[in-house]
Amino acid sequence: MNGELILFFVLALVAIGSGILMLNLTKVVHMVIALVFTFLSIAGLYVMLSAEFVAFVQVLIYSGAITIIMLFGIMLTRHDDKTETKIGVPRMILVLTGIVAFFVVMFFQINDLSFGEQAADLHVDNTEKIGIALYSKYVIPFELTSVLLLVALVGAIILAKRDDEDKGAEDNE
Amino acid sequence: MTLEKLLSYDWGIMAPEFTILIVATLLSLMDLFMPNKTSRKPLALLGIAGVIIAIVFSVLQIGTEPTSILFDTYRFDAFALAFKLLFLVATGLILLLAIDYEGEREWEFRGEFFYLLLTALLGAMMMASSADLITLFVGLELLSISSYILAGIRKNNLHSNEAAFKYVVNGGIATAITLFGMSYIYGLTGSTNLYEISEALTNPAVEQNAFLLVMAFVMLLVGLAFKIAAAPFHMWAPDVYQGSATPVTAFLSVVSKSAGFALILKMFLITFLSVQGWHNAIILELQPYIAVIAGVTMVVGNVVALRQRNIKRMFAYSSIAHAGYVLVPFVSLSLLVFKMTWFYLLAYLLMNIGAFAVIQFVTEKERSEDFTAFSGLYKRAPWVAVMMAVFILSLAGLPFTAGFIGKFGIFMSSLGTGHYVLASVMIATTVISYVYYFNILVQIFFRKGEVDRLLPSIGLLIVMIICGAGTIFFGIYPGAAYDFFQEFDMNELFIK
Amino acid sequence: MIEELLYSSPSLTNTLIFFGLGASLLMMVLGFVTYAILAERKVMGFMQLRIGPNRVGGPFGLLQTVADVLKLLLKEDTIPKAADRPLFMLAPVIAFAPAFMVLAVIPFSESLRFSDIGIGLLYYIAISGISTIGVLMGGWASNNKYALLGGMRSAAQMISYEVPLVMSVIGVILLTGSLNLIQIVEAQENIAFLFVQPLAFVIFMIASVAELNRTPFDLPEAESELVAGYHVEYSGFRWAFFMLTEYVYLFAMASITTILFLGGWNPVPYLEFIPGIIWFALKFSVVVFFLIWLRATLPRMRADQLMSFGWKVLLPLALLNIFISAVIKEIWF
Repeated sequence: MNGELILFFVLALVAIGSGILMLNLTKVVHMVIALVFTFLSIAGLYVMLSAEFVAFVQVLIYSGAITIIMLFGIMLTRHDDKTETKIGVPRMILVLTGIVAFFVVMFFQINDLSFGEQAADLHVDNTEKIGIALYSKYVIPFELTSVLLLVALVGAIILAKRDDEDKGAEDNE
Repeated sequence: MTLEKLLSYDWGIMAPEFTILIVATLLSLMDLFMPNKTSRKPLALLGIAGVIIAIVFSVLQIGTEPTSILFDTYRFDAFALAFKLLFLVATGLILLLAIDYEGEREWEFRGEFFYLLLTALLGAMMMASSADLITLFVGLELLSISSYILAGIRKNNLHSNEAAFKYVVNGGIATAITLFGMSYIYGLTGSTNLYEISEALTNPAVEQNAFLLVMAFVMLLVGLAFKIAAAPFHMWAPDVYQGSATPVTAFLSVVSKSAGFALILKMFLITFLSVQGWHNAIILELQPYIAVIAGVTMVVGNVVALRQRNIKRMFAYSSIAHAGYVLVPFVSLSLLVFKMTWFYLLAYLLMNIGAFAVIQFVTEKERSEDFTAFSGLYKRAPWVAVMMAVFILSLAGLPFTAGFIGKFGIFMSSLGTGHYVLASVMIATTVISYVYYFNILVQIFFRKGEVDRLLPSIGLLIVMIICGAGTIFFGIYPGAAYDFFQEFDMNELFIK
Repeated sequence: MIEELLYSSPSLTNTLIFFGLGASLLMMVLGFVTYAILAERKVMGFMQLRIGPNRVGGPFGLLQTVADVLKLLLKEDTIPKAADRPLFMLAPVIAFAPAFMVLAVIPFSESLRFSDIGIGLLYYIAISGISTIGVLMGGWASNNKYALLGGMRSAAQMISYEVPLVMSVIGVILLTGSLNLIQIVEAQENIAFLFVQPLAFVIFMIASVAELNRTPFDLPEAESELVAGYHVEYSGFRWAFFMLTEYVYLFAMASITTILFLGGWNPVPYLEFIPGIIWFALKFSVVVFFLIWLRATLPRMRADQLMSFGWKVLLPLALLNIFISAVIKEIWF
């Protein structure tokens, strides 16, 4: 048992525990906070895998931006909403069996996995390598992603923006 | 990599994609600077012009050697071109439909619709013409996200809101599953390039993990089955099709679905065809499961359609059933798989968009989506009624229509490879489908309705005529399409 | 010595050494905070023709802050009945922990540094974003409309100004070719980026004041409208944590400004005999003084002005700066 293993277990436990909490807590805000912890511990796992760039982008985007927007949205709308579970017991058991079966199958398969040699120099200049790959080899999907984001932006505005006519109508109500 | 190397690629081969991208950007800018209350219909005309230019570029590309840009993140080959032509033609027709759509009062001022349709088309085109998991995935998402917005674009319509929301949630889950499957494939092979994956998968070290590979295959299949609305992942389709504006419904049922098929064929055939499972190639070992999906899809689609009264829901189930039919060649995996799929998708494009043109015409005039809205249509607009009859006969798969030829080809190929059960399911469900298809025909020709004459607008008329003529032409003379398809050498798909 | 430590293989002794170093840094920062508060009150006092604190600890009020902290420690710790208890207690911790974590990557001089990671700048930006969650949580958990408004304003402001903040440093990153803060300082050996990237510097200063929630961007705690903003229901030690967070961020932000634009520990020409750490401290003090000066002179902005300024002025300027930097990089470097 070395420090790395301990760290891994701590991070993994926090990630899974917060994930479960996120599903089981009743207040929406608590769920989002649990989600933040999941994101952070996953970022920690990335750091352990020598992927610190991905890790901190994860923190920046997911914990820093997305969850805050989510919290914001929750607080601006009806924030005392509680989720009510309406799922019956038989269905719950069915789903649970499915999940457990999937987990067991995957776990044993991944446990048996062997790739031979492990990469040892993943941490050398990895940010630079990501940048170079992104802007040369993967420039087409990269540019396509910018179109995708533009579409998402336009879509968000279309769906969220209140039309002027409706505004007048609502004022009359 | 230097700039010279980057510029040395044959970027000209991307002309159709660039055209669509430029037109979409142009439309968005024009929409931004146009006065608020100006009609946005001219934008649609510009969009159609863009699509036509892209079609011209694509047609000029027929016969070009396979070209790869930047390690196959963009790849031009006959397979890609054949499918892109389908998408382009379909989107052009749908844009024509959209010009005359008058569902809601604010519709006239919605320019976003037209360029979102184009970005969705761009996503579909990238799905057909790439051999890299990342580009394929981004293309898939571009198509999906544009579709989510299109489904919800009628903001003041509750059905539309429901449609968008269901589509987003279901689509998000499907995307997650697809991506999870892809991540396993990447993890096992260490590459995102489909050809490198297919090479790496034959490596004995990977073959030991055949089981994980099967799981990855299944997850990919589940995720993509959602996209083509195959049972049991079809639940979203009826609600989304019903809630969306009719042109969007047509787009979802034709372009989105065809793009899903293109992706399935490409991904599975390139990567998994040569991979060994326990005894046989993985894809053969998994055939029974895909066959079950195809069979269930046909049964569910056709049987549930019997109970629908809303015409768009009925066509949603009909399109689910058709997804089942198109899956059959993929199951039977004869040498003709591309030819059969492509031809069926072509026939489906013509008859389905044609049918949706008539549906749009009737539902708008009647302000009702109940299928009794069609009653007495023959008296009110005889030519439209005849057109609708053609489309419906083709959808039902009766002779002298393109639908018949397509279905017949699929049926024969499944018999030829010994999938008798699947073939008989196909026959049985086709017979079931006659019931609801002919129900509409009964409404049109034998029920009495209003007596006033109805005239379709020019856009709708053009779509109906093109689709009707195409359906009959390819029904009587399918050789034209088959000969055209001979121009495309599908083996190019497998050449690295 | 630290250099060797950073590249040595991990062991229990090293862990303990790092722990000790971290603790000493914390003490240093606490010392800074104590006297930064005093300095702020003094400087503002002089600017407003007052004397400022002068009773406790001699003629300059040297022990004023210490006395304040003692008072805070002894105060009753109240939690409102209607508050969301777990979140209410968690919020100050979540707000403070990142504030201290970001200090880990800041190099103070050639030899005094606690890490050498390739993505130092990204680390700083990413981790500092988490504090917003703490602030938002505190505002929400208090179950008080002023607190909630303050928390929301803070989140909106931080998100809006983080974008120009990040965009403005891209110029610096472009010129250096690295996110490593040490390399960024080393790249300024000849000329500080302040002179190469003046536009970026201005944008960065404005955005960093907004990130710090200081006047003229102190809307989250605008006392005239929101009483005290997100920490209105907090008292005693929990409140002290929020205050501490603010001043630690002041420390961190002043350091990062020094590093990115003022050349870090690099000396002014002909004065190389003065050690790097002194240079760093000098430049750092100038930045802190500037921030205090701003607070004493500028009035508060309105919420809508704040938003439109961030998105409509700063962001386009930051984008323009990226473009200019790319051109400069192509021509000169």
